[in-house]
Amino acid sequence: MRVPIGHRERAVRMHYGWTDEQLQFRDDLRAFIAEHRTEELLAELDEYHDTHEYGPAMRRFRTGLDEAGFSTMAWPTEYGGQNKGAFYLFILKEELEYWGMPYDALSVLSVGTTIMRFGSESQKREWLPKIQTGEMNFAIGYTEPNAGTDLASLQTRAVRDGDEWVINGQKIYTSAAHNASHLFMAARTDPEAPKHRGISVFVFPLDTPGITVRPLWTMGGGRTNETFYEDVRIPADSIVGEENRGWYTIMNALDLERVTIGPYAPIKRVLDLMVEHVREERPELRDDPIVRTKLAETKLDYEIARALATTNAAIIDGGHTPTMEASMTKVWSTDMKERVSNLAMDLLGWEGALHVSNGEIAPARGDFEGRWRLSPSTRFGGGTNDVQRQIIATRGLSLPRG
Amino acid sequence: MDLQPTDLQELLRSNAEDVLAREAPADRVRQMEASGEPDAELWSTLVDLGWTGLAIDEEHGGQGGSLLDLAVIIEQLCRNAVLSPFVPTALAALVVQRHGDEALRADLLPRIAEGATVAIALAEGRGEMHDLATTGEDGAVSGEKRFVEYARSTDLHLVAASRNGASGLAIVPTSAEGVSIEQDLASIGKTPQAIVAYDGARADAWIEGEAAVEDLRRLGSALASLESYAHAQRALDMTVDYVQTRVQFGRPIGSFQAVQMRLADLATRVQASNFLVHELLWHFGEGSEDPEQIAVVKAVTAQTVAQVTQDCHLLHGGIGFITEYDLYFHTIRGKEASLRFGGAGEALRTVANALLD
Repeated sequence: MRVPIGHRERAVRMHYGWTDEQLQFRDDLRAFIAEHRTEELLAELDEYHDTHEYGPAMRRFRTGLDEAGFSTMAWPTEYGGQNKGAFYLFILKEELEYWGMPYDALSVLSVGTTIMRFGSESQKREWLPKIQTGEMNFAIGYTEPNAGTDLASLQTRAVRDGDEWVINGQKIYTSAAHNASHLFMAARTDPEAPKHRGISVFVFPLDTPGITVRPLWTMGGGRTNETFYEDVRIPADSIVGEENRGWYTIMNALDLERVTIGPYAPIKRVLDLMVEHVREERPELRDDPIVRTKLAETKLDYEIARALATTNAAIIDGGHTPTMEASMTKVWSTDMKERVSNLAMDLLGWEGALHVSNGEIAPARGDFEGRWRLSPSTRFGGGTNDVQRQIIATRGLSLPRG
Repeated sequence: MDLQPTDLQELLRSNAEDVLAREAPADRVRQMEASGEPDAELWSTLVDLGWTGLAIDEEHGGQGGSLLDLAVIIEQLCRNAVLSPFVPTALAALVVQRHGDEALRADLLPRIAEGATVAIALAEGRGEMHDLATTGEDGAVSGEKRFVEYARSTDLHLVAASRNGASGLAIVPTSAEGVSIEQDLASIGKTPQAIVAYDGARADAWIEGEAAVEDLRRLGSALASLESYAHAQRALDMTVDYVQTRVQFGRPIGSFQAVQMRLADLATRVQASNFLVHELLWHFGEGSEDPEQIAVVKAVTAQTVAQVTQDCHLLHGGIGFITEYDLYFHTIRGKEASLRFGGAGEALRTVANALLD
């Protein structure tokens, strides 16, 4: 099976270093981030956690990333990318996540690469350039109130009517549906077929009549949505891939997401922020053996996350599909993100609870408490961690299914 | 970056698997444990296969392999729980190759390739590896070393000492006058070791400089981490096999989610250890090793092997606890390896100091 991104010619084996070109890319990216990471952008990002609305500085950053050719570097050249391979993507994600910079990985990587692989020629020609520039960006419509981890039991219906599809149903946790341009939706097109074989995938604008978006506010501070579809009429060519083969299309999207799965760089960010804070502002903590031990253990946890993420990326870079390696990365890094932000708050006490809105008095711009509140979503999102553990056991270790 | 093994490494691994399955079956390993000495016949097989010269330069009678090539053999020896002076001897050869003068390299490395064995005499007192009291003035080594593995059976001792106030390493024949075993030590992994007294023992040669001693500590730690990882990996592999065949309540126990989740978490730690150990050895080959990272890898692999082996016993139940079954080899050898050149506690302290001071 062809993997649209990440494949390159094999170089030297058992080599753990980056190439000069990769190091240069990292330097260029860091310089770009340093230049654009202004107070204005940081203020917008603080705000973003509560509103999920892009501000002007965030938009400029996103456009700048694209104009510099960074965001679609790993795409094949035939679709406007540079065919640089999975490690460029890995480095991109690492740097952007470390600095908490906005990047629409969902549109560029998950949806973009799925369209490359399953889309029609006209879809590729029309959509990919717009995805590259950010003009076309996506919310994902998979989950329903009764189809979460058991995604294949989704009930939203798409019925063919002449040269249109008519969609009726409800989706939940349709994050970004309030500010994305398009929806990437899975709906049931054959209710008689076994549940995995009656699903199709559609792409259509979110301003199509019949769509209602209702906010669901999260304890992470941001917003997600529930979305309702009442006789939503879309053109017949909105379908991506074969009719009733949508399950395999979305599973592929989830596979590709695994290129950059596992937010391991933020663990380093929390550790660095903690170390900086303790060294500069809390000498009594710096000399406390318990604090020292805990921070050293955090460093180990980060190194484990880095090891897993790099192994996963190396498999993809070599043209192979990871199975348990992606799940290992996801489970460890998201569990660890929670533990690390928890530790930071525990070591700080009262101050650890302060929100970014308090200004100077909140340590590390409220980073620790903000991350800790957000961490449940990364642990259950993208395939809940306990299901990921089962994937490790059954796909990776070949244990029998229960 | 490309983490695939080379063709040579694949060949070495399959070759080692075959040879060790034939030449070092578990009952022979049990004999080594009982006798407290390595198996001379097995050693000559390893020498004939060229393993003892694997990472020695070709000009000195070796095969010019990398540390990662050497790691393939060490991992296979661990997977078979072999008790042999292979690792200390390889460590000594590496240090001689990296720090010895040409006369020493030309003399000693071909001998090691041909089968001479070396014990590492570094630690003193309670495991102190710095500020050593042992001296080597005028080529006569005096002091007491502890945790000297294979002290009795090896041909040479590589003794860390100070001469004219500067650190260095003395090469002392085990048979030299003034070398005596003060006490044999019974260690958890059953690796033979002793307290050794040097009383004016003549050194054959001397490697100048603290850099050589520091390299011995660092490489020693890295190889011990490799051993810890290899034992954890083997214990995990045995357990993944076992839970698929052991039936209780009418099903293989590996089909129970509780068992699957535990194994998934253990496999995750082992996978990370695999990467970290090999990455570290690659850095040694490039000359870019970093002391903090050496400590990180030591602590991660030490914690991993302890947790993995103990949890593998939990999943095995009674059968894993009896010594007719092979799991315990890896539990005790892995734990012992994780303490060699200092435990996770010391490694964590190094990491904390690097982060905060």
